[in-house]
Amino acid sequence: MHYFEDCAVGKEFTLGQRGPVTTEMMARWAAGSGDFNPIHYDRTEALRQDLSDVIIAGPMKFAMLLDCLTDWAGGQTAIRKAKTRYQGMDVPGTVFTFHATVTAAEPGEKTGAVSLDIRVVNQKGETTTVGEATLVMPLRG
Amino acid sequence: MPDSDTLIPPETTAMVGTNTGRGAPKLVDRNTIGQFATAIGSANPLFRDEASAKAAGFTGVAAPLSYPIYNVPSGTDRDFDLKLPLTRRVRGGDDCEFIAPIQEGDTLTAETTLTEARHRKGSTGDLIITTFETRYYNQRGELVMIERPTGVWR
Repeated sequence: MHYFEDCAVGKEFTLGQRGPVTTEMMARWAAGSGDFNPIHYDRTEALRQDLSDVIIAGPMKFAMLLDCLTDWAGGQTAIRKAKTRYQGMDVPGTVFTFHATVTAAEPGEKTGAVSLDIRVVNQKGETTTVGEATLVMPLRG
Repeated sequence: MPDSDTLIPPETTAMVGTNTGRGAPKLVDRNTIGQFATAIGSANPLFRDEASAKAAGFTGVAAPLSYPIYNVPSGTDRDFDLKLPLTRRVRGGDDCEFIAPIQEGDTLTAETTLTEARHRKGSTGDLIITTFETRYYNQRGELVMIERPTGVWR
């Protein structure tokens, strides 16, 4: 749980970690989401498409980010907007660390609006996803 | 780039601005919420424990924020039969506005619009970028989420 007062502009947070992502999780995601693009579960086809392995679906990374952000914010109703850009591919075995930097903080009466820049970094230190989020955080009062 | 150089067929360009119409309603159920949570390795009690979710203001087990992306009819680019000369697709990005809470027992209806299809030359060759907008409504007709996914075709 974090409050508006914790979120000074420029402050950096580690939102959390998820993974290692297994092929079983990826198969569950494909089956549940209905996204049967074979690059997410068929290694032979992924290699044929010049990829190094099956790759973790972008929306699956997005869902993990939102899950970490929910834990960090202390609830999901605080989260109003989130966007991601998938600039690198991740393969099975990846452990994601989700980082945020406060870019704007505007206090209101009982809550305050907070904007975050997001970086998703794998265990090799590569930033494979970047993004932004907008939250409405409670004031400590 | 002059239009004559574009890789996007005229029939696809003509589809920009069109939408799927409202798809079939889909019930949000506890089992599917649990499968979503398992797939992403979430231990959040909001998604499995009714008492925790109710304490947080939900009327039942909460749906994860991006749950609507997870297979609601008429809610994805796959609901468009896009004719493109490039066939290898990856997700470029997601862009969501979370407007109202979603929980078990809700019924979601989606409507997707193709908002853009453009061709550009990347460092590795030709790319086509597609952008969609999906609006999700609950059983009371309230807009609960807007999602704008980007697809990259190569």
